Amino acid sequence: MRPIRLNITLNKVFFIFIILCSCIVHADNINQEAPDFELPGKLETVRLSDNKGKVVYLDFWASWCGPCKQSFPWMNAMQEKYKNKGFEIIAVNLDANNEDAQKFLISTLAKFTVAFDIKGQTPLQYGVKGMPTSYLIDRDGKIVMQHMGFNASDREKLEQKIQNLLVEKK
Amino acid sequence: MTQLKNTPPLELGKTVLLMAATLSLPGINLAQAETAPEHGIISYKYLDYLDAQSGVVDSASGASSSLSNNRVAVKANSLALMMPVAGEWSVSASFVNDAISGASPKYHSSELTKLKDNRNAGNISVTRYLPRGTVSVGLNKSKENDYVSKGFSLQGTFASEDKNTTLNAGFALSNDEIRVSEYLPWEKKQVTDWLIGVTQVLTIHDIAQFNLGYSVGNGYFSDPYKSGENRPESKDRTTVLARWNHYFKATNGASHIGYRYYNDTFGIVGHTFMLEYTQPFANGWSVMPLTRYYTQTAADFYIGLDPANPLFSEAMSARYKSLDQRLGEFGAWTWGVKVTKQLNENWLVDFKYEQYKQKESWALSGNGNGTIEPFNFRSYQVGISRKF
Amino acid sequence: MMRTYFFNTFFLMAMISMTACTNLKKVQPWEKGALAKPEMTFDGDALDNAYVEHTYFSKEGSSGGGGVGGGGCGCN
Repeated sequence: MRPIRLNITLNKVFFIFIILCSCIVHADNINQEAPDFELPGKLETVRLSDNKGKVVYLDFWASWCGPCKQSFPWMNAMQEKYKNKGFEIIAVNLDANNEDAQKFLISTLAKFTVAFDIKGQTPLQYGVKGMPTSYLIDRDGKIVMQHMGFNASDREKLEQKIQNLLVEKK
Repeated sequence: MTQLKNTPPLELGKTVLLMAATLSLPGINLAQAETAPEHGIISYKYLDYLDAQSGVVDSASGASSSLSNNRVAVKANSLALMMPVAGEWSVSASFVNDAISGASPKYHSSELTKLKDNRNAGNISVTRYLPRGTVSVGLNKSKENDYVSKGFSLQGTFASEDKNTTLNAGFALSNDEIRVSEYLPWEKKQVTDWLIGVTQVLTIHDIAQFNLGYSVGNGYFSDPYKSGENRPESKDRTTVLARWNHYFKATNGASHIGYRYYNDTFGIVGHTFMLEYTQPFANGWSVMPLTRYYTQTAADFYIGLDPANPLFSEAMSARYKSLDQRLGEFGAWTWGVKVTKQLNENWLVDFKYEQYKQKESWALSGNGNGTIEPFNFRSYQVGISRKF
Repeated sequence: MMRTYFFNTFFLMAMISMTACTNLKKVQPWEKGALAKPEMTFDGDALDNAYVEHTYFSKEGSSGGGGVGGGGCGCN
């Protein structure tokens, strides 16, 4: 049997991979002040600063994103369950075409605050890296958690974090 | 860079291995799907294939003239299942049965011999979804009366933090056994495949992919049903695939453009150009016309001469030789259309029709010598799938 | 040699595309609505692809390019 012969120029390809890998930069904003925003909502303007003293679950979503849709029933349940404990969910829609978002909201119930950011300014400030991305903001307005994606196994972990934050003394 | 350039081939092999391992390995074609699926999918598809070649000398079977036009018919049924498991895993399995009947030529387009075979093949794979990539492991098996193939594959993807760049790599091993004759022991063939690639988001409406493939094969590569054939005991292949998908905002449609370069140590160089365009319509309908052009040069040991040619017997005395038209020089065009209808959120049905024509004179290099009659096939597929 | 030539071409194309990419406006995660459409992925319909690849594999000299493995058959 002959040995595996690989063309020497494969090295070049290898280098491309290395270079591409090195493009990956890491940054997060845990423990930093959550940037304030003012966005149009379903009926009235939504401001993050109006929720000082509450624990805020800030979610960035779009109508075309499958896991986002999956998270809606869970967010409805969380809002319902913890609203008396000073918990607020704000879901910022990032569809470039607002019609898509409106259509989505007709078929998918949202029992929490929804805001619309057509220009995508807020996710830039928050450094959103994937869809959906959510942030937990404590009663002092500080970001304590960033979570990307949403699947069945995330529910319990996220709820635990919300609970912990709600009972935390300040 | 210079230093690495001088690395001996063996070291390189290790480097690539190591690289593949570091990159949390290869992807089943999962180049973009970094997140675990939310739904399972079960799908079924039927294929009806029929090929034809005119002017064949039907000496062996002496069958009726209708057989001389229509040659091989394949009816296939396949079933696939993909299901998410525990949020971060998925399991996929598929099964296919092909029933082949008709007649195939012993050399060039001549001397048809009846054939009948049944092939069963299946594969199972498990995928793990990580925040920045995927790892998949798969096993596959294919069985015919005279051919058994068993394979293993390992694939992975790794995405940049912004998910605009995804690297993919794959490795596969296949061990095949071929029955050459009832009276001889089965022959063997081993093939190792390597693949590395990158998928890049170019703009909000464009995405492109480059794949580089290399494959090393050793063992029995001849076709036991062909006359006067002896192919080399090894075949290495190199492929370069470039694909580009573009979304048209004005029509809501998407185009797929692809090019594949192929070469192997038999001496075949192939170029494949692919073009598709998907146009969605109201009520879940979508129509995709497609076309494909393929051309190849002949294998070094291919004998395209007519047996009546005085040079033929001289050519046949070479160690390696083949009269299999698939190793000759030709060009081929495919035209087709696929129609899909999304019945509701969960059910999808589709239909596809393709027409193919292969001719020596359509070769890009254009020096086929006209021994072979044009070869045609038509095929249609009917499929249904359900999300759950 | 033909093969070296193609590896070099590939390398060059990759370098050009990378340089081009750095000059392109970075696509943000929330701007991927069009790219998220199933017809914009490279995966396609798996059973369809399997039939088509198997058919071409049995009628042409070239094969592969999109993925690895898949298994051999007595059709070539």
